[in-house]
Amino acid sequence: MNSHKSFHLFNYAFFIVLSLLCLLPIVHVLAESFSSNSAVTSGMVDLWPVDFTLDSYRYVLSKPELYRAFGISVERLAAGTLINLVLCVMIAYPLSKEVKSFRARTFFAWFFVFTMLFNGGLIPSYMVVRYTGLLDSIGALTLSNAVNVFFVVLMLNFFRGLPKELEEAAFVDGAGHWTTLWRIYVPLSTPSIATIALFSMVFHWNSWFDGLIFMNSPDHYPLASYLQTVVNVSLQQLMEQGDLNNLVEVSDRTARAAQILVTTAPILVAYPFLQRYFVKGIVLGSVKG
Amino acid sequence: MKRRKSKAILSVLIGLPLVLSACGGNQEESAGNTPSSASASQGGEEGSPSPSGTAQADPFGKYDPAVSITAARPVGKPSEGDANNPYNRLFQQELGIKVAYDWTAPNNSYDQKLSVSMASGELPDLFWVNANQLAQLVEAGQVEDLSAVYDKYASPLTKKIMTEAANQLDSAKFDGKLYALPYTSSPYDQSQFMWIRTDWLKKLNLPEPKTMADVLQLSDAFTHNDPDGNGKNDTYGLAINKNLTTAFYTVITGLMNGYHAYPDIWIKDSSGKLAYGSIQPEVKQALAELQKLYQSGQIDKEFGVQDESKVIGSIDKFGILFGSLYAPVSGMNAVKDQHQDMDWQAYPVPSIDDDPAKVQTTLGVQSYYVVKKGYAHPEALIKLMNTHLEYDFGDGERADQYREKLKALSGGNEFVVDDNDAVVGGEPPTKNYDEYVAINQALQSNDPSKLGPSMKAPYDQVSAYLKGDTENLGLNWAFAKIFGPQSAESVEGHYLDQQLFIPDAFYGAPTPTMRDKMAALNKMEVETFTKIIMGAASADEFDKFVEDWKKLGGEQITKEVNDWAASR
Repeated sequence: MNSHKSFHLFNYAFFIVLSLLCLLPIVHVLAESFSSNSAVTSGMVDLWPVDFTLDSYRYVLSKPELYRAFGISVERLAAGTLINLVLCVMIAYPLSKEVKSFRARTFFAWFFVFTMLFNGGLIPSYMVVRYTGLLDSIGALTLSNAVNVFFVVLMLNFFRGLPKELEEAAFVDGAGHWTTLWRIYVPLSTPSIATIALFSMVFHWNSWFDGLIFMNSPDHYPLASYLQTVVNVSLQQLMEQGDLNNLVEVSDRTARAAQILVTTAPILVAYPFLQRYFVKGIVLGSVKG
Repeated sequence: MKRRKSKAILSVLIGLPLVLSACGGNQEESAGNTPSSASASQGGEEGSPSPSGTAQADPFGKYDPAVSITAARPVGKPSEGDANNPYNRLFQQELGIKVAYDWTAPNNSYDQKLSVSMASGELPDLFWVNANQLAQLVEAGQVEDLSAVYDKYASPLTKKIMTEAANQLDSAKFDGKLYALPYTSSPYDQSQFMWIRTDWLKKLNLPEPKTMADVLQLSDAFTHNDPDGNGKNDTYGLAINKNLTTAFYTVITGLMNGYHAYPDIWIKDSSGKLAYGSIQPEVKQALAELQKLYQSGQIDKEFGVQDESKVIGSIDKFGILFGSLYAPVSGMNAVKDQHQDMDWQAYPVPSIDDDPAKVQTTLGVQSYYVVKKGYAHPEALIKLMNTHLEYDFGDGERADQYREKLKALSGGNEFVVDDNDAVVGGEPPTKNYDEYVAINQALQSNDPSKLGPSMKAPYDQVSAYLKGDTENLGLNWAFAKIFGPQSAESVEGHYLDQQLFIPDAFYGAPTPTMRDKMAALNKMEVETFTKIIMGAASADEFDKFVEDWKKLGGEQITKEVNDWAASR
């Protein structure tokens, strides 16, 4: 009894500390974004705003670049997630069959797993995008990440967990693989599809590096790449240009804080709505697999 | 067998664009670009010398018919990536050079993007590179030799600006041939200034420091005599940060210069050979002094974990800092807003003995402009630079005409020097100093009418501060401390007058061993210096550091640097 109690105590303490570790940085950034720049620079802001002001939000939201980048991110998210999902389902279905009914299954399984372990690296990826003519287009961001093998494995395990009798019954009634997949399997797989959708959305929203490399102008950057360029400024380059006004802007941490929050807010908001599927989906896939 | 396979893959790759270009309008365009740029780069490999057409060398001559040039550049604000901004339109109108950007990238990711571009062999006609990339491109023969076109086309003003500060143009030469134009900026502004908390001076009734000994006394007084008058022992003499020598403000470099030590740059030793500044005996002396300061509480015990912005954030607790001329706009302006009594002033770095202290400068060039090998009009770069420098810094009829035209092109906006929108850039090393002189003349005569538009804003800020306006106090104060009377620029004037600059004697691209070992050596340097300052090691540890430095690649680097010097 006593040891049970102390375990609970320890457990609560541990998780409270853990969640504070995750939460405090966000609260700090939040406080910074609502404070005056001079208070932030002189290190007076911890978890509560000092000299409360909305100036930095006014400044950040007045930038047309932000809206443009936001639009591109939404486009990427919509197209990218859809492509991910469709391809994932269509690859997972045949791979979930047994070798008996799909003779080349082992080969194809390894074909996909191989890409999980090895990839060509930056330059070859760039060349592929370059020579497929996708450079500087939304296709570079969506098609170059069209299949995520991790998602496929997750989906595949889920499909295997579904009762085989369903499929057999469908075949008896004259359905082919195509119908079985879309009319039986997919409707039954909403938990794992939601999970993968969430993974995929977060991935597309957060990835920034491909935007920098594949897009030819900052005008075409998705939000995450744009944010990276705003938050990570090079003092060296500004020094070189000797522009004093730019230097002043660099020390403007409030605007950066506001920018971080504005860009992460949408995905933070989407999270809770999808989270219940998320947990269920992963567990279902793994246990029954 | 292998070859056949790669051929098969290639043909698939080549076939793909045809399939995929049907997928969307946007992609068609970039697919369409492929053949033309590929053939252009092939032409480059053959290395056909440029037919420079016109025999007559007019630095501002117009191409007829117009030529086009593709470019790549880093951008800060959106207008910089606009190929159709007024500056680039002026180039088209006056020079017949049509600029188009193949790609642009934000300042901080430009290098990455260019590396990918270089590795895949997709170079634009005109682009920015850093010293390292320049050396690689020259070695690979991918950039045009500009020696002849520079001699022929560079305007007198361009030649003056390129060669005014030490070594700037020379740093773009390899085996005597010029392969790039440097983006010139001021090495002087980034040299070492000593900033002193003057309101504390007044409060403690102390004289302005003249020698390093005075400064050390001052530091002691600022630490122990409660200059902020709050009855607590919470102030420090000297502000330094964990990076010691590589940051821009709150560095130990200025203090070292007072001891005639020059960390992180290459200097000529007594035998005329190049030697690394960080391993000279003078450094040990300065470190021993810093150790004393630390022990008597004149340096914040936590400096080892604080970067420069952190230190600047609490700069109201410190009395002395060394660093660049830009210190007041680095965040001190914000602290000033919170602590309005605080006041700082720049002084020349004082000396520990009778020899005047000299301050070290870096090259003042971070980027270079290069022209891709095989581009038909390499002189276009020179002409662009001529024109850009002319309207920014020229005086005379042509410069005035250009400015008028720029004003018309930008819809009547006042022309502003150096706003970095043109495809090329650069400035004279004394640009800010010249502005300081002009601003102070205007302040004295109370007549700002002669000032150019770019000086108008600093003038207003300085005079607002001098008049005692409290709105925007921090920023006005910062500009007054840089451009006003008795400011950092007046110290720079003193340095220029007395020629108190020590330029870095090595200005080539990093040598092979430097590329491999320098980062580790620098790390070792910071660690050793920090240990000595914090008293974790005695000053004699420095001798061991020198030995280690030589053993771990320093000797080889010194040899390479001297070989480089001999080859020039």
